[in-house]
Amino acid sequence: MADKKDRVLILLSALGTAGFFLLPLVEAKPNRIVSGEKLLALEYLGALGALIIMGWAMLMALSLYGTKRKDEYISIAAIITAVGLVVLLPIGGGSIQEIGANPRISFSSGFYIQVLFLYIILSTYLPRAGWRRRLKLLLGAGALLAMGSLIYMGYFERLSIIKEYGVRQRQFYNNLYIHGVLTFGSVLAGGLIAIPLGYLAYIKKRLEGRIMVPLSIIETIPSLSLFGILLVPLSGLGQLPFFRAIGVSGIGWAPAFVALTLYTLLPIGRNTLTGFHSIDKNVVQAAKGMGMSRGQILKRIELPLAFPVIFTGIRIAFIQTIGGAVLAGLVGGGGMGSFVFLGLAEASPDLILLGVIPIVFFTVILDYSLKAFEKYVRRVVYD
Amino acid sequence: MIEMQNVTKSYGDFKAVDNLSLHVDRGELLVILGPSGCGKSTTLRLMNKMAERSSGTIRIKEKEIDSFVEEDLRKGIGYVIQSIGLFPHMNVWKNIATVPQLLGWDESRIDGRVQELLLLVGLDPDKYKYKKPSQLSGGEAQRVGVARALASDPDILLMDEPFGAVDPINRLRLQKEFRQIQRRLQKTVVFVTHDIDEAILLGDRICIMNHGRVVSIDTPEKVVLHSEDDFVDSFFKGEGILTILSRKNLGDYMEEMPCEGEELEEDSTLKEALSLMLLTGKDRIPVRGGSISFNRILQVVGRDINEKA
Amino acid sequence: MKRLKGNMAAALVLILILALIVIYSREFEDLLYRYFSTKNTTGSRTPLLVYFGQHIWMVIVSSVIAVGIGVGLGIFATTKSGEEFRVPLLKVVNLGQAFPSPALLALVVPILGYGYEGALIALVVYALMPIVYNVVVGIDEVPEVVVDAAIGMGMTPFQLYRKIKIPLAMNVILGGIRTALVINISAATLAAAVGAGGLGVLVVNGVRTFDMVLILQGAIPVTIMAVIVELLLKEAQARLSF
Repeated sequence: MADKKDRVLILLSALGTAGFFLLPLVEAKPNRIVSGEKLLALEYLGALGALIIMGWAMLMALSLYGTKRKDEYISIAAIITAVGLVVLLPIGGGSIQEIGANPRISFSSGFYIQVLFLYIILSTYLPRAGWRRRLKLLLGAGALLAMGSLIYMGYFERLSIIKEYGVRQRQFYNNLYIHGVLTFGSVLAGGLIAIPLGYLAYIKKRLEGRIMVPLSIIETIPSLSLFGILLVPLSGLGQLPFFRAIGVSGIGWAPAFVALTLYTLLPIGRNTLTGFHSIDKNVVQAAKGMGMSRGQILKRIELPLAFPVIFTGIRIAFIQTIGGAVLAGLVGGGGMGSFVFLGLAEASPDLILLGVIPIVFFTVILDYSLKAFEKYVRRVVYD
Repeated sequence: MIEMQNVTKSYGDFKAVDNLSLHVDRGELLVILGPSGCGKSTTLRLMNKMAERSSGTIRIKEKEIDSFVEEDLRKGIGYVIQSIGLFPHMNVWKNIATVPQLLGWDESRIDGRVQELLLLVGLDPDKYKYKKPSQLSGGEAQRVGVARALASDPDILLMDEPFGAVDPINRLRLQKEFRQIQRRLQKTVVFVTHDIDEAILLGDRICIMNHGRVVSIDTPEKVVLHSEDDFVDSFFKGEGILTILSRKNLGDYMEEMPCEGEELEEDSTLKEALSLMLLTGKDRIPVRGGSISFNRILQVVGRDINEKA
Repeated sequence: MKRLKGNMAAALVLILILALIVIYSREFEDLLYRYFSTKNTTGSRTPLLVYFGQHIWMVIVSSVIAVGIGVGLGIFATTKSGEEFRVPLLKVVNLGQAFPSPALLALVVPILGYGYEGALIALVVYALMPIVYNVVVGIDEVPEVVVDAAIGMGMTPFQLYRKIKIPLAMNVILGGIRTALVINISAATLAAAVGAGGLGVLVVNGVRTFDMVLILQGAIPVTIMAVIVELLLKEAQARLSF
């Protein structure tokens, strides 16, 4: 055990270290318009870079010489390196003075690469570390809280992404809100439609093909195409007074909402069908034999037993929809996608990041919590 | 043919096989018998290097097992497992042809061999050649498994509870047929089972294992009737004797005295004769070319019992 | 059997329609004009064929690369020496899934600049996920007793993969490739937003100018392409799995 070389860690830490030394860590601009200068980590951080180097060195050392509590040490080393990177970034310490009075710092490839490999290392070794789950969760929550407060206190002021945020704060929260509403709304609407449809396909076998096949076809339609195709019919619908009143038109939230709802139908519908089919037929037979009506069987037996699988479908739909809702930004529907596409149009990577990072963040959080809830539901149902 | 000396296989602190020594002669069918978890399957897998021993020597055909290239060793040994493991995406022909193809035989030779083997295991070649495993019953699949193991005409066959997954009626048929096949082919076979009757029926010698150790190795008669070990005794619980009778053919033990009545064939067993005696209430049963009496059976068993262990 | 024939027939019909649309794009455009009144009468200046070619080229190149790398990495992660790489590999690949496709595309821009190369890389990365995951899961699902019997017969690891593991995993693997390809076609539509061309340009421009004709000129061929790929690969799945 002590002598085994950890090939995975060797690879990851070597690449991360290479990223530190060889790739530019940041791009520094004196103002928003002028293109910036790419600076290597050592140039930018100066002496402070030693902290990061130490972190990577520790990881490399741990990869070559195993010890007993290896997973714990690796996790700690990775966390230190990551924290170091994040905390040192706005400070610089090297040549930051020469850039200008109010330099804007944006991430460059070196930063991304190091973050990527640190993420892989942490996500691989932290679960294996022997600490209690609660401790790990607390650690994660604490880290997030710390980050949040630092951002709030303006510690990261120099980062251009924060500057963008600062300028567009109201828009940011507005977009976040719209994105959330779109996501939850579509999944809710999709569930209300797809779950009954799935149940129908379950009880009437001959309808199964006729229900599932159109849903699969919808799933195949490329998302942008669907958004676009809905443009005219919805704008037509928007001419009618009732629909105009609630804001239906060719652009705006309507095509996004309809398209996203349509896309949730397959995962939810298919999982509903599978969920019901996974119930042991004998159980249903026994219930019938006891004299339960269809409705009672559904309520007391089938729904609870099928629920875990149905919930998986809902989870998949959620994750799918958060991402898909980004496209709403292209059709004027708001949401974080607005930042993404605006950033693309203006060639501003920071704006793009402002849209992307929150989405990724929420996707990960949502995925994690929904998976945890799923486990809980399974335990309740089956135990 | 196969020799194991002081072989141990440990998993951490647990010794699955504990300082075990045995040998299998050419053409012999050695049954390894024991309760679940006694290490019999592990012992088998040590012989074709599917498991790696922790210490001790193993020699196959007089050569150290480590001197073989693993894959070549295994191509020369037939391996049949309980769940058979037929390749679901290949038909019967292709399954059986697997090792010959790996060895580079030409098509016609393989085809002839597949025909021959299917006939040997009692399956109509034309009917079964192109069937897929999913279309076979448990008994049919197991026969194909045996045919597949014999395909390259290996000298050694390793079998791990091969008939365990088959229903009891078919199992008996398969056991009897396999006994015939073994008589013809005279392969060196190591056969693992926990079924006492199967062990007594098939084995030239039986090796009884418990807790990773050999408790007793000897012929079925000696093991069942002369065991000096309490464990072995409790294992057979005095019932093995009937199965021992089923190993013996009338042809070998019958008497010349003529007798009236419906005849048994020469290749029927002493057990069948005894059963018939009980059914008819007679103590002498006619056999083609002679007869067999109850006393004669007692003599045979008595000789077995009185033989020095 | 009947449904399979239906797949092939439907696919062939669609391929025919697609070919007609692309070759006779002028007539297609006029057809659209007749049924959808538009604000602008300019339509698209660049022939449909060009956009179609760009689109298909992007999809093919990125798919071939993604399948090559994905299958290779996936198989590697199931071998004895690759076993330790499995968890990190799946983590990376899962991470890609957390990024919605426009986000992934948008992110390569700051690193690699606008245009075709960046989009290609994003497409490859995005397609890797279903392929790698399905390869690993598919090979894992091969019944252990079958693998045991094969090793017991003396197959080398290479023979084991070639004759047993991969053929038996083929159904799942092809499913992953099918998913990846369909995702790719969809994502390539968005590549227009990063300057990579393709049929998405028509859709994006159409949305911007509220021109239904442009939108349909882009959306219809793309949708047909996606359905064709789905049908053909479903067919391949049915034929190549046991």
